[in-house]
Amino acid sequence: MIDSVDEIVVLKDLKKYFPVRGGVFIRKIGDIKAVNGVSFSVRRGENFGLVGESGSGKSTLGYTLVGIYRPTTGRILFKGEDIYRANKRDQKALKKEMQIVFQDPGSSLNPRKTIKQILELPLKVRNTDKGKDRSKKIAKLLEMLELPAAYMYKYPSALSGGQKQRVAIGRALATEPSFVILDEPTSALDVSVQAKIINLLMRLQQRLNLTYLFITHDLSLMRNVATRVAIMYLGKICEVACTSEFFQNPLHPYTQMLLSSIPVVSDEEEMLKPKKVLSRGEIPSPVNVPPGCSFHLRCPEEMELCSQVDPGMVEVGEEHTVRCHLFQGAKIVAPASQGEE
Amino acid sequence: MATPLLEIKHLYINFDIYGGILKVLDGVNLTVQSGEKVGLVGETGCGKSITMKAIMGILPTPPGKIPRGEILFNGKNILRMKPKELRDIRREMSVIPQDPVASLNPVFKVGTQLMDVIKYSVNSKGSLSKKALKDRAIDILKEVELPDPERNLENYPVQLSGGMQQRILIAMALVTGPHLLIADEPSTALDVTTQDQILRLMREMAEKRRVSILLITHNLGIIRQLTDRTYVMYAGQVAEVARTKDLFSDAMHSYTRGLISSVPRLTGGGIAPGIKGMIPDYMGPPRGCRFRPRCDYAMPICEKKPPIFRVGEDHEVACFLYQR
Repeated sequence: MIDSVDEIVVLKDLKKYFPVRGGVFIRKIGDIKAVNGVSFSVRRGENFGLVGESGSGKSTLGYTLVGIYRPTTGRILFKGEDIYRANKRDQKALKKEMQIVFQDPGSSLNPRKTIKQILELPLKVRNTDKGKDRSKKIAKLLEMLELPAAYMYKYPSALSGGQKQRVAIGRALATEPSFVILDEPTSALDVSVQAKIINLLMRLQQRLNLTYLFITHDLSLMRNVATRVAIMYLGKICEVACTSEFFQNPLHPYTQMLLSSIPVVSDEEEMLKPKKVLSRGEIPSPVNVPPGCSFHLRCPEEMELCSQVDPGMVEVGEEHTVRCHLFQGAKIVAPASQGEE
Repeated sequence: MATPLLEIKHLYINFDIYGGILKVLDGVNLTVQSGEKVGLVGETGCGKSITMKAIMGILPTPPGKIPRGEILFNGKNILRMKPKELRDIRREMSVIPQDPVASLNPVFKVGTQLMDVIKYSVNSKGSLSKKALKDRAIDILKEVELPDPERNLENYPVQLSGGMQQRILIAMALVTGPHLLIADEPSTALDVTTQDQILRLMREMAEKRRVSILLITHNLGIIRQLTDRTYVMYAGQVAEVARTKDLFSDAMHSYTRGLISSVPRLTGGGIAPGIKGMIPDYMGPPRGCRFRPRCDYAMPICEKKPPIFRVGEDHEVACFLYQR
């Protein structure tokens, strides 16, 4: 077992529901179960890849982690402390250490502020330095981002997509966090630019001892940068494994379907894909989550049990867990999430 | 050799804007033979969508301007056509647009929109009864494997998922019985599992109905999966053309190589360094080869526009390195 001190973030049965309102009195008539009982932990210095299709709840999970949303139930431990039970001052200190980089730098940077103003704001809010020191810090940040110092006085509109994303990364790193959530940081960029941004992120991780939670839909990218990969589907984690094991021995039918759907660019990769699992159907709405296993409607291996009982997370190998009835014999590590269904 | 279905010859496109002229396309040549599946790949801003707009005759002019070049469809120049002729020829080529959500009108039922297209497609041959229209619509929706077509005709676009909306748009594109299908990033807005289904459908449809495809995308994986031959475009110039198989095993142009190596691999091996620099400003693009400032092999001669060198069967490169 890994020492718990090494686990920088621990999620325990985290749920985030959004109410659906309707009718004459705008009463609550249902829930969007965006995150529906997620438990995992991220270790210090790790690059944890959280992969899912749109609507799987991966971004909501990221937002809940940094406090943009409050969780409905469940706990988030950061360095052993529950961030929602700590007092206001501790909460502030904890949040300084967790930052997020958003998907689209075009809309996450204020077009009316200069790069200097954008990078200065987190420093001002955290109230750490005086004006002169702040300027020095910003110059250092720009150097770290491999941007010329003269960019300080430019506006985001003068920058290319890749450069904007560098600024967004800089804004997240300004408060010197130890844990950074990257929410699809390169999906708005071209591949040749993506390569440069990913390489920068890897260098920064080394240099600043960062831990990343990498939220993405791109499994090929995760193969190259993640230490562990988790697959999310309709608000739940279906499979977690360390990267090499994950790609050599994908077990969950959904993981196999995802892997076999990726358009690849070489024959070697084609060989690595699981035998063609024909993809079918689409992710259902999180308002009407199917009963039992949420994937059973699209699953090629569907059994009678699957529509009735939600499978628990079972351990199938060293650091490899799967939520699927096919692996029933294995040791259950987390029972199916309890609660109103 | 038979007349190609689509042939673009030395196409130049400029945009007159406040402050100067953007020289976007710089002498593009491209052919699509009948029954062929051709890819056009390039990064954001390389001019691939502008090329599509020029072919369909929906390039906004002004500000757009086509100073030189020809676009021949079945041997006839589209750029010289009268609106009536253009309307007729548009039945023979269809577009599958990028974003299904933005391409369907949210206030009309799917069925109404689809039947409008059917009406248009049979316009010259007399009109159809309501019943016949509906039957046609249901047939085509069955063909694109949309579940429960009768009911879905009565739905509004918001009631359908992204994948289903894209199937409707493919149905609209096919129902006119086109010879050429231009797909502009047909699956970029979709998830991988849905994308896989849509690509499979497009391939089946093309083979069954013997439609040629011009697939415009930035995703090299999709190019490899669907096309026979591929054009690589950079900053308004065609850098390389080859059979898709050869392009991935034997890329010649340093831009193509950089692009292919930037794609993260499922087999691992880390991330390549990417391509240095960025796409030039179209206001004053580099003289000669537009990739020159970013190229590791740039030579003085590259200031002249490279001619196209033939390096193998069906394999051409616009780069002086291959001059013999």
